[in-house]
Amino acid sequence: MKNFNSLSLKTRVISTVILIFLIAMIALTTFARKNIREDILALASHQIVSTATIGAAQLNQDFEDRLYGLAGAAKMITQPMINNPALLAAEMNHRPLLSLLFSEGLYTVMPNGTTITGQGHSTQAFVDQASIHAVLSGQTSSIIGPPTRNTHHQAPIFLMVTAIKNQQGQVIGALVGATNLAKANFISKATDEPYGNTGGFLLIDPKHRLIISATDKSRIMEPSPPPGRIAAFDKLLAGYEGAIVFTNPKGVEVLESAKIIPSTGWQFIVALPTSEIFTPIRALNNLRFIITGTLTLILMSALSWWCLRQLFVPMTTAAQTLSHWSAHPETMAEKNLTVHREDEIGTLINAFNQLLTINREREMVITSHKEEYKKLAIVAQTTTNSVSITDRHSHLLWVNPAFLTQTGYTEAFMLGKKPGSFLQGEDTNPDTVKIMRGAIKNHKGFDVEILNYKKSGEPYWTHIIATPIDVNDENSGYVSIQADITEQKKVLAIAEQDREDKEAMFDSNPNPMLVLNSQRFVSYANPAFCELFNIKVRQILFLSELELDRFIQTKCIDADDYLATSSLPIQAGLKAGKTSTPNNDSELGFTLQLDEAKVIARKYIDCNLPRISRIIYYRDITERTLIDRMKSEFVATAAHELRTPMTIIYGYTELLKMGTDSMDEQQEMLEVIHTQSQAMIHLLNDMLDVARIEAQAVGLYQMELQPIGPRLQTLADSFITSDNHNKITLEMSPNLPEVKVDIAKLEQAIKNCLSNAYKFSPKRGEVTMRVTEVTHDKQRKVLIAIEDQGIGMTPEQLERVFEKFYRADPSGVIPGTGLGMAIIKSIIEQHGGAIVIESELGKGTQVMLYLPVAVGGEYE
Amino acid sequence: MMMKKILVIDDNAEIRKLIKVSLGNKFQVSEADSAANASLRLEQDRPDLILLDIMMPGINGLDWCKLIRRWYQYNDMKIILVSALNQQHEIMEGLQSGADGYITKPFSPTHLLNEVNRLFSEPAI
Repeated sequence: MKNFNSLSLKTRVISTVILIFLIAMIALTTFARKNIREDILALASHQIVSTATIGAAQLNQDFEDRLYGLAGAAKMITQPMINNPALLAAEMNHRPLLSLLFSEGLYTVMPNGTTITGQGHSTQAFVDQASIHAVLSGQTSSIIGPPTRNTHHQAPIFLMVTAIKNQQGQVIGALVGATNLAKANFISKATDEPYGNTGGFLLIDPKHRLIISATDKSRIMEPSPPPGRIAAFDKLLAGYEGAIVFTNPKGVEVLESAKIIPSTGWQFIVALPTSEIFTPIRALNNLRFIITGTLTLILMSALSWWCLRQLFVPMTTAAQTLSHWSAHPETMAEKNLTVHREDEIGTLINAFNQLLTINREREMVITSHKEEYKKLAIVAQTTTNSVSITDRHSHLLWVNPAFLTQTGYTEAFMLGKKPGSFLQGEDTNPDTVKIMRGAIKNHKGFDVEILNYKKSGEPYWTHIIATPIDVNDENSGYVSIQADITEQKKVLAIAEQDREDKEAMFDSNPNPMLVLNSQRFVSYANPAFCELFNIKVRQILFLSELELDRFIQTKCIDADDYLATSSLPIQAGLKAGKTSTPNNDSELGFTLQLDEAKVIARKYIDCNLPRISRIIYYRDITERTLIDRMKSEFVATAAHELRTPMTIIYGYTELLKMGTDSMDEQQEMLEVIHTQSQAMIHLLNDMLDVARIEAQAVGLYQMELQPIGPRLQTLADSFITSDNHNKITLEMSPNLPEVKVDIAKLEQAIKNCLSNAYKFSPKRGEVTMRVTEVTHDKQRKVLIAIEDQGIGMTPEQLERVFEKFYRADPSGVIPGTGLGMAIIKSIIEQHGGAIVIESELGKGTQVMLYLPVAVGGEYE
Repeated sequence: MMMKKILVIDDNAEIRKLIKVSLGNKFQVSEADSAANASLRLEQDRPDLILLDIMMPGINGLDWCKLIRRWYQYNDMKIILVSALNQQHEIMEGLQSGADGYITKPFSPTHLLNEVNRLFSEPAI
């Protein structure tokens, strides 16, 4: 048997319909049968009860008519008639009708029980003498006795007896009517005809449990079923007003109803076998009926099947088309299923068409995706960047060829491993690793640069961009792209180093400088600039050029000196990336009123660089300006000083030329000229010295490490004053440390000092030179102290003692140029030493020269 | 005729001596080594001419000249500046300070004497 589900839809529908139809039919039949049965039974019951009632009433009427007839006849019978049978017979003959009422004859009985008249036999033949006797004895005026068998011919007979009374009311006899139940009688009229086809009647004497009459004659005089045997029967006999169905002693199911006949106390029973009652119901089980039903069913099924088939045609067509398409997708093309209807099937096919359209669109998307995937695969395969895919546990699932090339590991080695486990090494930055792990933990993308190691152990820098993949909102690992940035790193490192170097160069530039960006805002200021203006870099950065000018102007003593660079346009027409030649603007500079006045010169260069428009250089020329001024002052002073002896020489020579004076006067003039010429020579020498020294020509110094003691001794010994008055007292400590000196220059300085000491000691005071080792200014130094007992100086003079051309004696008595002390100071300072002068007017002067002690060839 | 009185003011003794020699013996010459000292002697000496150096310690000759011209009562007194400053603007400045003549050092003694004589021969205004 095929599975039900594998049957065709039509068959299934039809089968189901048939099944439902059958069940409905059976249910309907059963229900109808039950209802019809009840209805029929009720109808039959009513009918049977009515029949019983009518039958009983008619029988009762019959009995009462007969009793009435007997009583009427009895009244006509008188005593004489009883005494005279002939008379009685005559009287009786007048009542032929009465005798017709009693099939077994009418009898007159004497009080002694003898029969006077009657047809046929005497009343002695009757078994029921008790009824006769009851009437005769006056117990009752009339009675209907039970049927008994006639002694003579055994016929079932019952008697109706009434008393014959005289005028005094004495019972003088009895009139007896006998009815033979075996012959046609008034009762049998009621009972002979069958009820329906198979039913019948019964007349029962319940008192004697005898069947008095029945449609089935054979049952007359049969005893009725005893009480307790058939409950329903008992119930009927007890006077139940209705019909009961029960099975009678013959085993036939019957519907019975009973009605009492009042005049006799007998029961009139109507019985009908149920089989007759339910004949219409049985008709339902009739074979024809079944055959008709079945045929109808088959016909209906066939019809339904055909209808369904017609209905399903478009669907089956569609199904076939679809199955064909699925077997041969290439035939599908752009076709849709044909639809001609708008019912459920039409809707279904339309829905199929929509699905097909969606499917086609999807297919197109998939096709285009496939193309894209192919391209992407090519990209991943051929890119020089390493590409890897890891699963959610960070284990490698896939790597591209570049990954193999980059790392040097084989695919077999790497797959299933965590990349970090074999790529990271000792110099890998643990912080970067931490960042990556943190991102992986939260399934976030990351972008890091990390130092990894190749299989060969060679380190390389790689830039990793890792993108988390989510499939259906679930962590599915990462796609990572790694670029080898080792070279880039190197280049960057070099560039960075280069930048740092350049920054250091600019930062270390002692000259202040500023860089303006393309918008002419300050983008760089070197430390020297900040130091000059005593500001922080952040105060100057991003100022506009105009603001910068204003800032500098506020610092200028005379703002007009300052030429604002913002008013100077950037030189146009420069080639890209080129700079102009330095613009030597305001080389004379401007003076800033800072902690001390400073003269600043400025230059700027215009640049056509992407980020630089102008570079401004400043130079602190305070010192140079001062030197320049000093030089010009010196020259002026020197010229003046030279002019004086020249004036004298010029004047006297002119006078001499004129020759008007005496010889003595001429001699005197020549003397003056000579002296003034000598003074000029001294002056020129000193001036040259000062010029040399002020040029700070260190190169001219021949510094040598040497003990100075012996040289100083020689110097002191050989020092000869102009007047040959040598009184130098030299006090020198033993074991003097060595000093690094240009001994010639040092001797010049000491000579100058000694010379001064003598010059200012007009009273020939003693001059002492002491050489000792001391600690001065926290340094070991050799002290050369020259002390005189001369005229000394006032504090004012002492203050100006190092000024060039300053002379403590302006009178000109003491010869000198006023440059000596300046020369001494310069020489000592060139040796890294110091000069200190103490003097008291009238007491003398002490000049102290400190020279640093050389340690290891260097000054300490 | 009384000898004209000339006051020589110079910090350098040799210069003063040269001037004195140059002027000869036709004038009554006195000396001062500074402007300060000269001031003390003006009332006493009542010089007709002052030969004045500019660059001197103490009061500068130009400044002293201006002071004299402003405050001194005898304004017919002549002043000749004798200075090493020989720039044109220096000379102009010297003459504007109230001096009657300007002689630059080194000077010719003849020229000096001529200048002095010229000044004395000019009629007083």
